[in-house]
Amino acid sequence: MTARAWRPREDRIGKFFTRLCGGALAVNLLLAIGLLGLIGFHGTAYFWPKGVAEVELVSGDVLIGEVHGWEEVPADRAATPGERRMRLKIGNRDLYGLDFRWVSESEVARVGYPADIVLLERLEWGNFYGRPVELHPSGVGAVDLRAGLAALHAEKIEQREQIEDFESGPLADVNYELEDLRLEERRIRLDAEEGAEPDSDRLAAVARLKATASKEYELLAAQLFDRRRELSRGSVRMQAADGQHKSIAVGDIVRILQPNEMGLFASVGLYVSRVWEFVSGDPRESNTEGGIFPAIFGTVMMVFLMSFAVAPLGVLAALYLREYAREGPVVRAVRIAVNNLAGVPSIVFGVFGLGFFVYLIGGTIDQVFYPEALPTPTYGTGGILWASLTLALLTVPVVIVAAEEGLAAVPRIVREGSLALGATKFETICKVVLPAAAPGILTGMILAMARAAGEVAPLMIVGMVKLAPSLPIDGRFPYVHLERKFMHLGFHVYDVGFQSPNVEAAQPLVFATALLLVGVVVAMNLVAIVVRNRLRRAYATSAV
Amino acid sequence: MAGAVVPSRVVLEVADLSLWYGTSRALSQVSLEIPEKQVTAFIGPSGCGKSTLLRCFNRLNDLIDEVRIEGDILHEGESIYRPEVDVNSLRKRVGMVFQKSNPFPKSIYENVAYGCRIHGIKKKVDLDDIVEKSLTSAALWTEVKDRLHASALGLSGGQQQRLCIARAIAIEPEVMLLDEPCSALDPVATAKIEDLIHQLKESYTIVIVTHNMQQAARVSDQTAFMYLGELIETGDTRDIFTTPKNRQTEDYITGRFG
Amino acid sequence: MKLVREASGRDRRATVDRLGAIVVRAGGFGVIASILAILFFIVVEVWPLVRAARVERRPILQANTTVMGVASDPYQSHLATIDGEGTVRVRQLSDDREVLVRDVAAGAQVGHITADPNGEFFAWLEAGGRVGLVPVAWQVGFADGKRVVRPSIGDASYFAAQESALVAPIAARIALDGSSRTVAAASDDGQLVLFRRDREVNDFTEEVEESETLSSVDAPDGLIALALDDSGAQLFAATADGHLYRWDAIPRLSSEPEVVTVNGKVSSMTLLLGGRALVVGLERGAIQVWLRAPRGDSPPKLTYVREFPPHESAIRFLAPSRRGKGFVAVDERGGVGIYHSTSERVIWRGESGLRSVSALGFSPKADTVVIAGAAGISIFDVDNPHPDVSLRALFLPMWYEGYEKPEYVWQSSGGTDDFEPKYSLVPLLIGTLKGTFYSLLIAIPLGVLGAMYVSQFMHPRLRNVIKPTVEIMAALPSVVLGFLAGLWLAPRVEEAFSALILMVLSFPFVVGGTGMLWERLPLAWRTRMPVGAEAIAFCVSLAAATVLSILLSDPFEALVFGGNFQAWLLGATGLHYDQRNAIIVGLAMGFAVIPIIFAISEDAFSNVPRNLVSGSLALGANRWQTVSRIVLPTASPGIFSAIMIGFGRAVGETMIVLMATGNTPISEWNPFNGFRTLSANIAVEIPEAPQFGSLYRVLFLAALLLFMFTFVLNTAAELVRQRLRERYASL
Repeated sequence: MTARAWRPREDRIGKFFTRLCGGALAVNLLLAIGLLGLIGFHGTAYFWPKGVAEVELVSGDVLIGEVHGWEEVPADRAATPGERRMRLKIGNRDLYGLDFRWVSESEVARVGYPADIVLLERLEWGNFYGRPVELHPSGVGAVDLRAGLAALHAEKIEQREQIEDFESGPLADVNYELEDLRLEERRIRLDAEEGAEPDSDRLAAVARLKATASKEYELLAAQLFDRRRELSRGSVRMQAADGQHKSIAVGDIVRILQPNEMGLFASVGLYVSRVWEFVSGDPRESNTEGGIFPAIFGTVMMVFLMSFAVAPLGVLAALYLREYAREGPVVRAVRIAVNNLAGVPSIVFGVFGLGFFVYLIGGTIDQVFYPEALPTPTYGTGGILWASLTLALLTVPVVIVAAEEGLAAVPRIVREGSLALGATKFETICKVVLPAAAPGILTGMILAMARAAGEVAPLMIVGMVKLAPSLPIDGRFPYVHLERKFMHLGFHVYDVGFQSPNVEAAQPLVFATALLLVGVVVAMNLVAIVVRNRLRRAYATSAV
Repeated sequence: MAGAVVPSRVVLEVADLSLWYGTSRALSQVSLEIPEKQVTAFIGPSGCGKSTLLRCFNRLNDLIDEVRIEGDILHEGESIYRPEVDVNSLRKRVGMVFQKSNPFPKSIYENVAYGCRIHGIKKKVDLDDIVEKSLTSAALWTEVKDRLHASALGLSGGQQQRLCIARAIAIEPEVMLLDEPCSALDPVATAKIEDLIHQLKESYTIVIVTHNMQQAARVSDQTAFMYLGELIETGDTRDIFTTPKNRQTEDYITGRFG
Repeated sequence: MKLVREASGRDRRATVDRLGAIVVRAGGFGVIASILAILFFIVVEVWPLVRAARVERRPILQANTTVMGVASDPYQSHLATIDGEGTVRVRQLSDDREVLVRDVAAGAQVGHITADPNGEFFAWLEAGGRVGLVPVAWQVGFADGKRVVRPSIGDASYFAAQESALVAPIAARIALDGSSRTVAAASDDGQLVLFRRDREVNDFTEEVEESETLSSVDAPDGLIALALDDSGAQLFAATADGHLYRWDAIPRLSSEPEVVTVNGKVSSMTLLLGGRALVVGLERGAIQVWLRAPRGDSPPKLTYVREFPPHESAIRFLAPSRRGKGFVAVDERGGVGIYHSTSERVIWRGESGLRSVSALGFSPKADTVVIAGAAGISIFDVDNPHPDVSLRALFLPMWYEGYEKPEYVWQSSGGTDDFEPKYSLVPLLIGTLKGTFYSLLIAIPLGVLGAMYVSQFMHPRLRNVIKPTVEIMAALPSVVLGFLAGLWLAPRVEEAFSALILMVLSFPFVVGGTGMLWERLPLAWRTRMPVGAEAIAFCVSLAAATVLSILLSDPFEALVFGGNFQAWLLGATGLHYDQRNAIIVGLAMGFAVIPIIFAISEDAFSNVPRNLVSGSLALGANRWQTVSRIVLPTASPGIFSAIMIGFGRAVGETMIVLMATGNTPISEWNPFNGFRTLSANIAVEIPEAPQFGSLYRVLFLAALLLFMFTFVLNTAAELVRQRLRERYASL
């Protein structure tokens, strides 16, 4: 045959573009991995004890603190070009006012890590770095300062725990009772007919109870005062880097550490203990220290409440669309609309939640059921119930779509098989179709829960707070308090990262919170992916 | 015509070819010669590996994941499975028409010109020329010449298949692989395609896969019968259909199974 | 065999079946309906913003004498009037009973009455040439849980010039804290006299000391109206021939007034709340608003800003609202108009039904208009909770107080009561589009090209690992992305912006170079690796390039930008670099959008029918040719819908923009500064917005816009996808 001169040309442009696509994919991968790595690294490094450096400056001053990274000095401030400086966490906020300070390379004369530096993690004012000088009262543990301090600290921790129990126990009970009685009194007055005198017998009874409770409160308050005074007795005089002395009440100390002396074993122990404190403890210093237990609790509870709402609703809607509604343009349109709701910005749902649940429904509930508490709103303000319902609306499309897919994937013959045996349509759905579609529905639920756990914007409007005074579940009737405001991991990230007074110092903690949140959400998504893949495989084989 | 005793040059030679999809073996030790400018038909029951073998000639099996090949196919005496072979030039020389017509969602003109553009012909005059020639060769020109720029998806099934043939012809391959080209067509369209095959073999070497034995008998010069991935018998079409040497071939041809 | 009648067990089953059907139908339909009701609810909340004002006239109240001035309490329970004899009467409106009568002018004929818009004093000119002023107090208390307003009339104080008689016009003010009373009037010797009486209460002795300052300037000819601002710090005057004057009045009247000319004859004038906007009524019936607008560095000057559609006759009375920048006007023939200056809204036009109008009042809460005339007193209830919002104010540039020219401004709250809320959604829309634009700039190429590579150039075994990795990005909570962008990325990018530039510039070279090196690898190695393993190599080289870019950023910055990118930027383009800017948001929000675009485009790519691909390959086309000429055009509707859905996500994203920008509502396209989006605006403002206030409803409107926008976008995308699916099926 006559071959025209069609020579195979190397397609350079094609190759280049192919590589560009590959590069784009690589960037995506790097971003995903890098981001997870970044959060993972910073989130876990937060708990690892750092060595505490003693930095002698050329000027003769001495600083003690943890080195938190190096960077180049901005050109306009550098003594020599390219000079570097370190970020030193010097703590002792009560003495210096700031947690961090920059130290240029040229200022430094010597850096050492002496073993005798003591780090005190405190309830207030953050960390203290220095050396203990004297224990007061000096009688305690006169033999060895460190051992004495440790012993005293152990004692104080016990006292502090007792006080906490006392406060959340008897004292809180009385407080609660007093508030109840106040509301009771108002209720009696509101119950009275217009213009008529309120029921004086009932009022008197309430007043008697109130008097008893008040007396008890005073008694307990006095006890608390005594205990507090006992706790504050005993202090350690510390010498800071610059030679200043500072007396610190041992009762205010969370941990006493000598970081430079710790071996690997001790470090690991401390790491574990800090992680435990983080996930189980209460926040301190307006969330920038301590634990995030209330936030974890709030997030989990909200997600579960949401699931209770969203599961039946989503499944009902999917069943209706797939099994009962007659297929046609209307159902198709509805399906598209439901699908698209998943793409409507979450803040819109927040706005709706505020207007509808909080103001309209909540306000009505307050007027009908809680008039005695007004003008303080009970349900007429953001709370965990409204937050979960708002999120339920937000996520119900996800569940509907997944459940519909699950239902659609159940082969027709399965249904027909059941119907042919004389089962009714409802029996077929309950006993055959739903179980077969369950994994699909479950996938949808998990995805919905993951989305809910990570969602913040709408919740900022309908019930999340920086610091909730109490958990939505406690030991008092009715045990579950759906009207209460709650804390949330995502909001914790936003609030501590952007609204806290000391953003620099709080950043490591935010990374830890972010890691926890990302961990939970990503894990849920992975589970959903695995479930879905299993499901697909199961159907793929059953179809053959 | 068929049965001409002129010994033809061998264009493609299959040498001891085996092929696995993952762990299942689809072809086992097939050896076969494809003579130049003749029609070779592969027949056999579904799943016997005839389409797989066909796709080996232009290495379209490369696209399928988990494919492993042993043995070789030689084109003009050289292996087409050498690593340095440019698959795209190979495919340019070995054209293919598929079971289900697959015109691109473009105009008729663009469909035919597609291959030429790919291979670097850009001038409109040249393209116009090639398009007309190819469509004429594919016996489609008169039917579509007034709507060259209409969508190819508007053509009937038979026309679409002839368009695909025209598309393959346009890049002037040496070999044309036809993978059950008529299986989705009605008898009238099928007859047209068969006529076309008769004309095309003047210029091209044609390999056709079919499970329609009458078709094989009508259009082919050589026939290869395959069964369960093995080449059972091969030879002159007339011989195969009249005096099959193998029992299985006979059973198949006489319709005892398949 | 019986098929019809069944045993009771069967009956129960049938009942259960019916019940089940009912529950599912009702439940399912209910859920869907309630989801869709969201839209309805939001619309209901927005509706009051746009609905027309409702104004109703109460039955006319009879008055025995001609009422010259009216004042009412904030709760509309009482109405105080003053007539030509100087008699102040307070009547309770619920039963139209006079509760208080006091003759304040001691028998003198009074005229030119001015009433405080807050309803707290009357001032008048007596025939004898002095000005009188009497406070009216409305004491609000509660009895039996009901609000009771107790009116009282204080002691009148008088102002008179020593050598001349005061003549019309007059103006008076009592400072809000009661510390000073200011009165201005013309005098019969051609002067304009200003009295200021300061009251000081001695903290120890509780004695009241009063001191009076008096100052005067030459009065312009043809004075017809005077106006004092709330604190008595400025005096405005209008002359019949169309001049407006302004004097500084503290400590005394300045000698050099500011003068501007109005195009027309002035018939009346008043100051709006805050004392920065002058409303001028003209003989020809038009109403103009004049603002003291700044002009660059020179002092602010009275500037004509807007005019309302004219009445049929001269504007005789104007009364400002004490709630915002509204006012009411009455013309010669008794026509009434209620207006709002900021929103340029004609809220209501109607007839007073009174022939000769003698007094006009706008109640302190701006919910009633009181018009007195010869026939009596007419009260209009005005139901218009949102006069400050109009389509024009939301979407067009408005000339606000203190601005040089009409502008788009969002500023919902200020420190003072007389703050003028500025509800322009335009800066927020621009912010939204800006954030979306920069994030799509990043997300579209990365998402689409990445999806193309995964679906077309990658071995399935590799694809099964890579795809979920990219898609898991979608699961990252946006609050975490926002946190990283705002606190981790932004300072680092600010420090080494040139590293970012280097990375982008080096990208094609790194990728191309790595590809070439990859090709040089021994064939045996390459064939053993799955197709697409190249991308992994790209990861490594791109990571290395990133590190290298960061290391080289300083020398690069020194070489190209003279050592400091931000300084260079300011010098070369005049653009300021904010730490949290649109590029940071683009990166973070791009990150959030990539997985969406990636997943949907991947779907579109990999669903392109296989036989088209094989058809193209069988013609000798290589992979790239097949992809660019067959796969891409065929999948393009799918890519389009992927971009649409990504767009929708970026438009509505809240937390990232909230955290990664400064949230300043400015209307600029500069990529190096921040912005505020509609969604972030809602998050920032709604916790502070009073329920059912204008701000609250405007924020609902913003939510409605977001809802509609994303809903339409997603529906379009979904329809395109469905069409595409059908098309794939036919191919």
